Amino acid sequence: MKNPCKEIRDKAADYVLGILSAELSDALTEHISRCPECRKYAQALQDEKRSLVQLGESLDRDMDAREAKVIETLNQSVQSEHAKPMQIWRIIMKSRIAKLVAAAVVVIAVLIGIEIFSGSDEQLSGIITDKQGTPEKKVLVRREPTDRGRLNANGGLYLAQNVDAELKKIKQMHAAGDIDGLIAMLAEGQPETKMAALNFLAERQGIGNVKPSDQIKVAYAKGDVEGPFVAGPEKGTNNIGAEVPSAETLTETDVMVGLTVGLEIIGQVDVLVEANSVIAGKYTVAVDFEGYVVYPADVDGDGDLDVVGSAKDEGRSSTTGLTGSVETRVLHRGRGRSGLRVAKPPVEYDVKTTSGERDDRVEPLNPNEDEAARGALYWWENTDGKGTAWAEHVVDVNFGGTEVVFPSDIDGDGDMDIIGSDEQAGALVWWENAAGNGTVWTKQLVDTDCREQHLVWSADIDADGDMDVVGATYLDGGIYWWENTSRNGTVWQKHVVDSNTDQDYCRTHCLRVEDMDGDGRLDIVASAGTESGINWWQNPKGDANSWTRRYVAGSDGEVESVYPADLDGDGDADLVGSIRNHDGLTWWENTNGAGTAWAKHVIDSSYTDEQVVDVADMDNDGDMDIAASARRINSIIWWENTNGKATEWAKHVMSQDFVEVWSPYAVDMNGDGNLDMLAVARGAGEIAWFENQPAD
Amino acid sequence: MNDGCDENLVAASRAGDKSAYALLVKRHYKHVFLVCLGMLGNIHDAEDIAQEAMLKGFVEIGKLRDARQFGSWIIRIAKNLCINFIHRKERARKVLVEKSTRPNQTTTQNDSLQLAIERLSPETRLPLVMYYFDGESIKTVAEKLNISTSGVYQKLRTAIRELHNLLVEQGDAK
Repeated sequence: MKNPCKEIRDKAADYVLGILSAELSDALTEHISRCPECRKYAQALQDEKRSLVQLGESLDRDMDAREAKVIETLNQSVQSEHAKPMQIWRIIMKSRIAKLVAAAVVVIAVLIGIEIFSGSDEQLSGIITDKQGTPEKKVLVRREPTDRGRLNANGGLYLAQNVDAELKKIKQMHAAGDIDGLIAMLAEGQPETKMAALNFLAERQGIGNVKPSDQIKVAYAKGDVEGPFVAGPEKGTNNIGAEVPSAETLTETDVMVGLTVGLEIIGQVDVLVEANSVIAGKYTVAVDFEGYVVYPADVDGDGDLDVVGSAKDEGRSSTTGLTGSVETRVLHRGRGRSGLRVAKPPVEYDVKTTSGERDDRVEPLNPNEDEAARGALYWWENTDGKGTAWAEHVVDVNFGGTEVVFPSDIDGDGDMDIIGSDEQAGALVWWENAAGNGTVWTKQLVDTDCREQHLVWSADIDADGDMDVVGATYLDGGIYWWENTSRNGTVWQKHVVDSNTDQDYCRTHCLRVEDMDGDGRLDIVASAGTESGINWWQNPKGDANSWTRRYVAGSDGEVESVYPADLDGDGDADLVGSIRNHDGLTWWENTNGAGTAWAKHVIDSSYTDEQVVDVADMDNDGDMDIAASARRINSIIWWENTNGKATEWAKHVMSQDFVEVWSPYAVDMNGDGNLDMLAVARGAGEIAWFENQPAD
Repeated sequence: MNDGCDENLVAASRAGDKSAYALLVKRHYKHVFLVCLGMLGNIHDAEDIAQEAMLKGFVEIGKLRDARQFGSWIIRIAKNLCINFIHRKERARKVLVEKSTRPNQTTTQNDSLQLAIERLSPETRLPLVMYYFDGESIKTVAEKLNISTSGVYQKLRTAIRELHNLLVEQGDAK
C-alpha cells in the first residue's frame, strides 16, 4: 500500500454510503483509530451525511405549503387546454353570424357521420379486431444446451448441466471461503469450472501462492479450453507442455495473470419465440447522408432530442444554417508540449439562412484551406420537439473527416459539445457548442498524435468531475484516454490504457465505458474483429492510472458491437453482442458480478448478420431488452426479454426495408415516454426513426 | 401510488376539473420539486420551476397520450423547463460562478450546505437529491436516470467528496 491515507480517504465515501465490504470497513476503522487526519475526514463526511438527511427532512416539512401554493395559483388563473374549446364556444355563441356558421358545420358533420357508419361496418370491425387481438406468438426454436461432443478431462461427456452444477458448487465454496475446496476443483470437474475456481482463488488475495501459470492462461485465452487441464506425458505437466500448477508451485505473479482471464461457458441457447411489433410510424430526419453513425443528443438545449452525425468522405461542402465562424486552436499538453498556439487561421464560412436546403456550391471562403478535407459534421434539429420536423445544421465541413463522433459536455458548461477525430490529420478534436444552442461552433484540438484513431467515447473516467475522452485505434488495437486536466477542455493529457504491443487485440469494432465489476468505477469494454473477441479493462483504483485487461470471450466470428447492461436483473453488468457469421446474437452473463467469470448464452443463432446492438427497456416492463440492426437484410429488430431473466426472448421485427441499416438507438424521440428506434440506412443515405408503441 | 387513480384524475383534469388536478399535484409535486432542485440546485428556483411545471401540466394535459404515464410526463415537463431556465440565465456555469462569488452571507449550517449543493455539478447533484431527499432506493434512482446502479453509486460517491471539498472551500467544514 503506497499511500494508506489516500486509499482510506478514497474508501470513506463508500463507508458513508454503506457499500464498503466488512473487511474494508474493518481496515478503515482500524486506520482511523490511529490516524487523526483520516479520522477527522471520515467524521466530517459522516457529519455532512447527517446534515443532508436533516436538510431533506426540513424540505419535507415545507412540502405541504409549497403544494398549497401551487394549488392556490392553479385555482386562481390557469385553465386547461382541453377545456379551452368551451371558452371558444362561448365566444361563438356571442355572435349571430358565428352561430349560423357553427350550426351549418354541425349539420354537415352529422350527415357525413351517418354516411360513414352506414357503409363501413365490416371494415371498422376488422380494424377493431386487429387492434384488440393479442399478438400471436409462435415458437421458432427451443434448444437444450448444446453438447459439443467433447470429453472432459476425466473422459466423461461434457454437459452444460454439469458445468452449471459445478459452478453452483464452487460459488458456494467461494462464498464460504472454502479455499481447499476451490483448490481441489482445479484438479477435477469441467474445464470451465476449473477456470472459474481459478478466478475465485485469484480474487482471494489471502491465498498467497495459489495461481495458474502463464502458459495455461494464454492457451485458454486463445480458445484451448481443454489442453491446459489435460495431463501431459510427463508427470506434473499438461498436454501443452506447461507445468501443472499446484498450491506449492504457484506464485504471486500468477495471480495477476489469472485476473486477466475470464470464464466462458459454451453453447447455451435461450428460448426464442417470434412476436408481432407495432410501429406507429417512420419519420425521416435527413437524406443524402453519407455517414453511417449518428447519436441522439439535445444539441440546442431546448429539452428535446436532436441528432448528430458525421461523414468521412462526404465530397461536398455545406454551410446551411451555420452562423459565425469556425476557428481551430491547439491547446495541448503532454508529450513535451504545452500552451496555446494557433494551428490555422480562422476559417470563415459563407453564412446562409436556415432554409433546410443544402447548397453544394458554397465552399469555405478561405482560399488556403485544404480542398482534400472532406469531412462533414452535422446536427439535425428536432424543430417541433416531436421528431416530425427537422432542420439540418452544419457544425464543420472543413476537416479531414471521421465516421464516429460522440456528443458530450466537454467544457462542463451545461451544453452539448462534440468530440471526434480528424482522421486525415491524425488528430483528436472537439467542437465547442459556443453559443449553447448549436449555432456557433469552435473547434479545438486535443491531440495531434492520433493516427488510426477510430472510436471515441466520453466519460468521467478518472472520477474527478469533468468529462474525459476514451479512444481506440483500429489496426493496432491500442486503447487510450485523454484527461481533461483543465476541466474545460482546453488542456489535455494523454494516457495509455493498453498499447497492445503484442498486436493480439486489433480491428477494434466497438468501444464503451461502463462499470463492469460493480465497484462504482468506470471501466472500458471493447470488441475486436479477431479471436481476441471481447475484453474489458479494469480501472481498479478509479483514477484511470492503472489498468488490468480482462478477457471475456473469444469468437470464431467478428464481434461487431458489444453493449454492457444488466440483462438478467441481478445487479451486475452483463454483455450483449453479435458474432458475425457464427453464433449470432449472444449475451455473456457476468456470473460472479466481478466481470471475471462469464457464461455465454446464445439468443438468436439465425442472426449472424453485420449488426450493432443497443440495450434498453423497449416495452416499459422494467427489464432490459435488446434492439439491433441487421445490415445485410435491411432490418431493425428487437428482442423482448420476456421473463426478465434473459433466458426467454420474443423477437420483434420493426422494419425490413431500411437499406443497409446501421447505428440503431433505442431512444424516446417524440417525448411520449416510449422508446423509439433511431437508425441510419447506409444504402439509402437516410436517417430516420421508427415510433414504437408497446402493447398494453 | 395507484396508477389507476391517476388515470381517473387525468381524465377529470382533461375536462377542466381543477380539484382533480389538485390531487395530482399532491401526489407528484414532491418528486417534481426535487427533480428541479437536483437540476437547478437552488431551492427558490426549484420552487418556481416546479410550480410552473405543475401549472403547465394542467394546461397541456390534453396532450398526454397515456394517462398512466402522468408521473413521468410531468417530470419531463419539469426537466425541460429547468433546461430552459438554465439557458435563460445564459449558461449554467455563469449561474454557478455568480452564486459562488456571492459575499459569504451564510449564517446557518443549512444555508452553507444548500450553497454547497447548489455548487455541485448537476450530474452528481440530481442523484444526491433523489437519494437523500426523495428517499429513493439506489435501484429506483438508477431506473429514473437510466443509468446502472453502480453508476449511481459512483455519482453519489463523487457527490459526497465534492460536497465536502466545497464545504471546506466555503470554510464550513474542516
